[in-house]
Amino acid sequence: MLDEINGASENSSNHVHSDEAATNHAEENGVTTNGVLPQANINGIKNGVEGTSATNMMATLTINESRGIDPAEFEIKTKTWSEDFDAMSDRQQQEMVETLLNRMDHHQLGNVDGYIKPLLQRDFIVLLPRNMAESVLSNLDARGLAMASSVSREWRNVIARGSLWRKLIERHVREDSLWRGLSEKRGWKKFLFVTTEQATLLIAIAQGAKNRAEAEAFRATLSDPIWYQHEFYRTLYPQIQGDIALIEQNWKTGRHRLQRINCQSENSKGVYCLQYDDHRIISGLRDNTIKIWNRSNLQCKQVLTGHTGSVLCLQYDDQIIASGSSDATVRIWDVETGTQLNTLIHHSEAVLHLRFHNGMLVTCSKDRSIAVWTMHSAHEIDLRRVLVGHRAAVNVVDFDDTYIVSASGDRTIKVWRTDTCEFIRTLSGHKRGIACLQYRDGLIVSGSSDNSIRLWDIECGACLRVLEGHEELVRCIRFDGRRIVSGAYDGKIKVWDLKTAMDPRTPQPSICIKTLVEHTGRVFRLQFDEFQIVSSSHDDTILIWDFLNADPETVANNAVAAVEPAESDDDDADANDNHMEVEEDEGAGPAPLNGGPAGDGADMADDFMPQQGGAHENGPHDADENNDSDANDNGDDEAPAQQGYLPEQMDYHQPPENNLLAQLEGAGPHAWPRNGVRDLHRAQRQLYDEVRQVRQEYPPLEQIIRLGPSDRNAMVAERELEGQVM
Amino acid sequence: MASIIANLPETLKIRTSENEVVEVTGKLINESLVIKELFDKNGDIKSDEITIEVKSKELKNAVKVLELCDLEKPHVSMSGYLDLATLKGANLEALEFLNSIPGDDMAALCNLSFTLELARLSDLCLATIAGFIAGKNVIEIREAFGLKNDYTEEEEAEFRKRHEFDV
Repeated sequence: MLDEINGASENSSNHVHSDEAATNHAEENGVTTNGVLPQANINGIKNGVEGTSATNMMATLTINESRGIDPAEFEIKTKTWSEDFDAMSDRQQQEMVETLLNRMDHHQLGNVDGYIKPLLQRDFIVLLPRNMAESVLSNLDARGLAMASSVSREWRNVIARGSLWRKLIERHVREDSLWRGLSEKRGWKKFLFVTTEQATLLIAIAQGAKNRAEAEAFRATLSDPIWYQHEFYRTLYPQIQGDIALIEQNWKTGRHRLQRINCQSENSKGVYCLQYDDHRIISGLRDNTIKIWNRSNLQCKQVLTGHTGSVLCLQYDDQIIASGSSDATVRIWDVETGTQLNTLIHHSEAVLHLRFHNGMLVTCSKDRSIAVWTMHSAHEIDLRRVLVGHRAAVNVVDFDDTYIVSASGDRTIKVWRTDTCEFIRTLSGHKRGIACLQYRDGLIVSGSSDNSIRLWDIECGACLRVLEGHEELVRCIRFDGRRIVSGAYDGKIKVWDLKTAMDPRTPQPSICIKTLVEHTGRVFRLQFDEFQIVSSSHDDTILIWDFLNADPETVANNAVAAVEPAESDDDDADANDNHMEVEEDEGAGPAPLNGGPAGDGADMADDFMPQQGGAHENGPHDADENNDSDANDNGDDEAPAQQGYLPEQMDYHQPPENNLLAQLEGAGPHAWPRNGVRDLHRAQRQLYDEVRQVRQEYPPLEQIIRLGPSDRNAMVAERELEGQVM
Repeated sequence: MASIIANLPETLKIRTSENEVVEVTGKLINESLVIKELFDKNGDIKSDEITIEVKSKELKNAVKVLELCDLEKPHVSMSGYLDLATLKGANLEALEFLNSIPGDDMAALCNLSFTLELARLSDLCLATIAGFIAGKNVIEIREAFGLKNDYTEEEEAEFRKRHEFDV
């Protein structure tokens, strides 16, 4: 065995022989004159060592320990090597150390590792000044903070004294609207952004102290208020997380608490528009009024009268309400007193939508134009520009500092620059007219009579996604950073996941999170936030879907609800479906103002300015009457996309001369059975299908007379080209 | 590069507490609120050398870290919460260097940044240390920092129950 050991020792590496004999011996064994053994030899010897028995290994180690150079010489060499090492660059030093490490065996490497580790290990939280230690830990997320507080008592002290749980909650509230909203709705906001002393008192009151005096007395008994607060916020955080998880789950399952406001309109029923905040809901109704509802008790606290037509759109801020109506006017009201402050008379037909922001107001109308206004004050609103280009009613408009976006019954979305009103581009894709739209942060989401929803990039105009699922016209749509919520003519509301919708790889069925069915009429308008949806409908109700305080028993009713028309005493009970229920009585409106410079030069050739008089203005619109293209058949705000129905607001007591149905009825509308409303609808649809098919063959007589030969030919050619969309 | 403050020199020699002279550029001087205020108070200093009671090694490490930063980009000091993504984007090399220095040097560097009010350096050091903690469980944190567990079994059981993680 000794010979083996000696033999092994003669072949072993890591020998640095200082004398000539040793050098010669080393050379005989393949060690170079500078004492470095070639790498191959090292590996071979190491492999050899690993292959030997434990006894031999121990013997080898013992022998290795006995090697070495003279201590005095070692010290000299260490000093020399250190000086040489210091003269090297960082990179060279690192390479040198790596070279040396490569020459060590596992045992040595383990020792080196044991030496290095403590060099890197320091309890910084204890070593650093307190504010720096707090700063380090305040950068952790909740899990990291929980871990850190469990590491040692000193770390937990730093977290407690720095109120780091409270600071974490405060940071979330500052950065996240969901946290912010929750802090207000659940009432724990009062514990944030206050001094330590105030926080202690508030917590004591929340935990049982009857008043401030009692809280102060309690605080005096605390040995360390810091720990009292620390425990409170440390416990509060997971409660908040649980709340957020529950809200998310409620959205997914559709679990909600439903509150219903019956608007009790006297004659014409239906709530066309709404906006809400924490204290009130302001709604625009078909009975020509604006009603303001108290959120706390759902009672109507104010009714604003003035419009002489349905209130089709509204928006309010902390000072004014702006409303648009089928009476073609825009009215400005004081939001607190309800006093009417201003009336804007410009549009020649119903004002279908409006938006205002930062002193600018944009309105759009059935007259196919968009008006851009400057709001100096509630009393002083000047018309800046009129944008023309759409070939049918402009149903919706939205804007920000960069772009104005409009959508029309002509199936297109148009983009205009906000500052110059210059036309930018047209977005095409929808197969029917567009009923609703929202534009935000470069993204446009639109809903159409073709039952689909489209997502668009405003900069390049590309359609990013088509969402299908609704079975009827998509009448209203809103989105935020997480969800899209849409409402349709069949009374259904659908919730979609925005992120998955934006991901082209996500399959279609996965995008719709939930379908909510409670309305019994068309959903006309909705608004939502992280906690609720508020929707309004033709069924004359406003529904509040509360996902924060959900009733545990309530799960979204996915059954198909019978969408009953309004009560028979409603003139529109028999009305046909219509795309945009814009106006009711087509009285001759004021002559339209000069449209001003066209905003869409590219489309000027096809532009069709609002009719100046003409038969169609004197009565309810037939969807086909003023159509000059198939687009208008589908997109006219009165004409639903699929069929050319008459306006739902048709007044049966005064059948218009141009009303085809009335003509076909012969005896007049009173001969048509008024019972069995559902059957009536079906019968009407069937009739109109047949009439429309016939009318598709030929343009309306009035138009033929008005158009010149070339226009007539162009129109026919266009129809052929488009393949008769209907 | 011209100094941002008019009366700052292009380079400056700093004599440390160990009587060693370390030369720094105007850019680096500009990072330190304390040094800038020194010049503000004293106007144009003719001498290109000042004495600051800091250790040579700490000052050299500080200079080294700041030289790896993009000092052209202004640093917005964030007291409390750090925007780690932004910090990393602008100072990746500096953070890599800080990740490798021994614990004693890191602690000293933190104190130096605090003393000289080197906001960028301070935020980088704190971000580095926060990075040592983030994503680790309790045992891993203790190992990384060489810490002993001074909690009782009952207390640890309570943590596990409360936070549902492995201690």
